[in-house]
Amino acid sequence: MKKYVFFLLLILLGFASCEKDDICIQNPLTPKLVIGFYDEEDPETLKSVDSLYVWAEGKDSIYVNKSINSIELPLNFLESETVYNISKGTLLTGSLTIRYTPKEDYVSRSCGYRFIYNDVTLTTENNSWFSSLTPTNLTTINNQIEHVQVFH
Amino acid sequence: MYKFFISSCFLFVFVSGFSQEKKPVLDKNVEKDSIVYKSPYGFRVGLDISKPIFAMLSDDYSGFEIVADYRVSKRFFIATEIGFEKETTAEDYTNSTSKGNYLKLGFNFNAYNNWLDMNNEIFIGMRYAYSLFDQTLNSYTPNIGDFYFDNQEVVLGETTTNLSAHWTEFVFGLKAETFKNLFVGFSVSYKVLLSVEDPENFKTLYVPGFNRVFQSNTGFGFNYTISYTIPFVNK
Repeated sequence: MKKYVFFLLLILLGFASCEKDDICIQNPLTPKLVIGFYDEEDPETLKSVDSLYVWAEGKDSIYVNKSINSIELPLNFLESETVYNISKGTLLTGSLTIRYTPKEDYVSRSCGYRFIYNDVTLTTENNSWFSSLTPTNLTTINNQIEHVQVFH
Repeated sequence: MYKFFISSCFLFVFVSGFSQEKKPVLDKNVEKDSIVYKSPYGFRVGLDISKPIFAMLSDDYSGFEIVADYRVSKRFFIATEIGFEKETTAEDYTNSTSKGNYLKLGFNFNAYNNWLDMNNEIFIGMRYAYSLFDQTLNSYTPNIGDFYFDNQEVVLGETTTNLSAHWTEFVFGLKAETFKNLFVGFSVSYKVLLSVEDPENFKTLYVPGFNRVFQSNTGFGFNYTISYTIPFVNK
């Protein structure tokens, strides 16, 4: 009987030491709006913006004085629109209003829920530096690909 | 020379002999052992006492299980378990509660050879099990990945009722007769889901009777039972 008791304790130990069998490795899970900056004279080529400032209305900046050709903007899932100010230097300003319907989407036990955005529309106001804007993949934001092309 | 070869051959020859073999005794005067150890055949019913103990230790769990078996032959028992379980699963991003009833039906095979009139068991068995349960998504925290915008836990309490699950179990356990007809038993089981219903835009994370649903649709369980045999016949 002693042997069995030992065996049972071993089994119990096995149960007690069970670890998580899935760990969330998908990151970022909730997709962001990806904007690529292109050359207005050569629309196929990415062109960096010198001294880029990006911030959401009433928030701190995400990008400060960056020279970059692609940006990722998180959207506020608690609202149905997010307004971003995108400035080139300190003088050339522009704002981008993104309207959408946020929807929760279950992924897995460890990752929980992410948000995807449906019925996405995009408008610009007070823009003084980029010439045009093409939404390439923009009705639903559900993965991290380039959604908008901005020409400047 | 031939003699040498022949002798070497003999080296590898072996013969088996028996000298102590018992010849059948045909003496009719020798008395036969008239004592036949009978074992009870009957209906055994009991409780899983591990579940109420876990319920006492944890606020997130409550459960109750009745076990029963019926001996059909020397080694085979028809076995069943009926129970209720309620469990709250707290994950990093979700908090949900499953509650419901389950029924398991199958057999146990006693692989243990008892001494004399002992009635102990080391058994293996199989079950088919069915559970009908409700799952409530209490709350979730959206996985937004960064903290630029405020995140906020969403409290829902959304219940999906009448979800069902089917699975099979492989059971290994032991039972020991401690007093006359009173058994203490322990068993562990490995479970494989055959089918499970998920709530819309959510997943079934815990099935009553099955326990936590692992990614591979398998599960583990154990019980610790105290049961009593109501003997019908001894044979």
